[in-house]
Amino acid sequence: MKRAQAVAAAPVALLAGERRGVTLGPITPELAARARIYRHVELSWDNEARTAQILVRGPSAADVAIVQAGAAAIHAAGDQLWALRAFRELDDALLQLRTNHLDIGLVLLRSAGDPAQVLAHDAALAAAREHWFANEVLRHMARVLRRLDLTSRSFFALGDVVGGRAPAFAGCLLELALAADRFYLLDDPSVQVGLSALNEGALPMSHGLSRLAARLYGEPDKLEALLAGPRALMDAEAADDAGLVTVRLDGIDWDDDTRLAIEERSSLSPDALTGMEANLRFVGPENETSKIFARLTAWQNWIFIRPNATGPEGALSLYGKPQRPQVRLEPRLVSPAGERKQSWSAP
Amino acid sequence: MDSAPQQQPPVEFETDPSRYRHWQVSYDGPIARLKMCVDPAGGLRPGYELKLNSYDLGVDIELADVVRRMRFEHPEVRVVVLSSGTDNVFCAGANIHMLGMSTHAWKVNFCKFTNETRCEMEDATAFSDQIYIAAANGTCAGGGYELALACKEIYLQDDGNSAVSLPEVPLLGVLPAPAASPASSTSAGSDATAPTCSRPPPRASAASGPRTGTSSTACSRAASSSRR
Repeated sequence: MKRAQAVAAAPVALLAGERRGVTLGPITPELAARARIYRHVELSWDNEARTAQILVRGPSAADVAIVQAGAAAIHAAGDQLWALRAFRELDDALLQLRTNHLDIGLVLLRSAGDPAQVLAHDAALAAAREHWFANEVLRHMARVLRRLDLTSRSFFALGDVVGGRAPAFAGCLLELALAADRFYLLDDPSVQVGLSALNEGALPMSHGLSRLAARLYGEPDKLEALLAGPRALMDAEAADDAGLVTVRLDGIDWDDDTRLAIEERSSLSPDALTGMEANLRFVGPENETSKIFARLTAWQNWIFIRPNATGPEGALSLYGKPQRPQVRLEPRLVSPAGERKQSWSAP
Repeated sequence: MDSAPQQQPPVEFETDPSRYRHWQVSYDGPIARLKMCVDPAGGLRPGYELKLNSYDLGVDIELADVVRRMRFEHPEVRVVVLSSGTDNVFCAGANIHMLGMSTHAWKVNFCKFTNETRCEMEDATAFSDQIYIAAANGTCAGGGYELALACKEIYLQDDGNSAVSLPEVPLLGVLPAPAASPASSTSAGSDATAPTCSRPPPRASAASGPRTGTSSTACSRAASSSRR
């Protein structure tokens, strides 16, 4: 305890703001047969099609007004602040998908709202980040987005108009599209995307790069042009030219092309593309954290299915039993039948 | 665990302090004390017992909640002292029987979540000035040592019993759990834990801890008791 007291008493430059805690109330969603409906996020799934959808609604004008009122108003909003509530809900939805929907291999990411409001929201939140609570909100957003990066499912971001509702892939919500393995964008006058201050590195991936830098890795000219450009909305063609979009489709091709892509991916096993997608998501330099998650991937794909560990005579299977594990030294490329349990089998 | 969400109730990740079964948290100004007291009968799924402060997904869901709430609800906290409330053991790591019963997918998701939770502890130390200190008052085995590694400093009780044990080294030929090792070379690197990761000894006692780099400091039981 002496050491704890010494560390606690050590001088440190704390961020500004009254150190008054913010209680995290429940985010209890409304449960439907095939959906979890939160206030700002909606998770729905189709077991037959083996797909799920996460819809995130952007901030309202009232939400933006709170953030623009400054750090004290942000603090006063507490756990009802859009940026905190929406990302807590997104976090819960991702964890639900990972653990309770093992057969779903493809997640469609959609957004809704006014992209201009998202940019205004982000600018105000970034300006307040010297306040401890605003800083915590931003750090939390970053952790949730890293959870998305590290989820072993395919993600397609779909920027189309659904029921007259335009997407809001701008600023912090553009991070969803940049994190996705593919970003389909409808070439329509009502569809716009845009960058905010939060796309420049405030919400880093596990290996320290911004998602924008990862998306444009190897294309520094495009990255520099975007970072030097205005924080304004751009149409689908400009977004495509800037390198933000995987596939830009017009209204004639949208339905067929996206349907084919979705059906193609859904026909594979849920984690079939995990390794390849992780390589593409985490381009560029490694740091300690990304190495650990890479090691975790090795555990996933090697240790846990290795006969010497989980085979009938493996060390994990015989732990606590009187028998000694039988370690086979020769490489065995084909596992004995029955030792690898899977909840999903190819049709 | 098994093929299971269809047969078992779905896992819910939302919790709050009134529902904790495995952790005790107390606050004293800038210092918070976090005690791991895993309820052996409190496994998330039936079929295994959480002996010796071993953990499953349910234990880690609570830990993740503690770490998150500490940052938002207790910004006055500067130091979190992590210790065990179970006799003679700090933490035995992931429950082996749970792992043995689990499907590949469950193990993957469990490990990923535990890894992310330990990264959250390091994130709190790095960006919220909430420094985690492991007061290891018992044996740290496998992933239990990884939990300690997620803390910035590790103190190991020098009572002739407390030790660091890495059973995965001789059994599987690998380092312990997939969790938490970022600590070994980032926050705690200056405290000599980094060399541990290159070639860890299968078992290091409290007395040999500072020498082998498995702990920051060894403390006698009397000293560590009086310090609490």
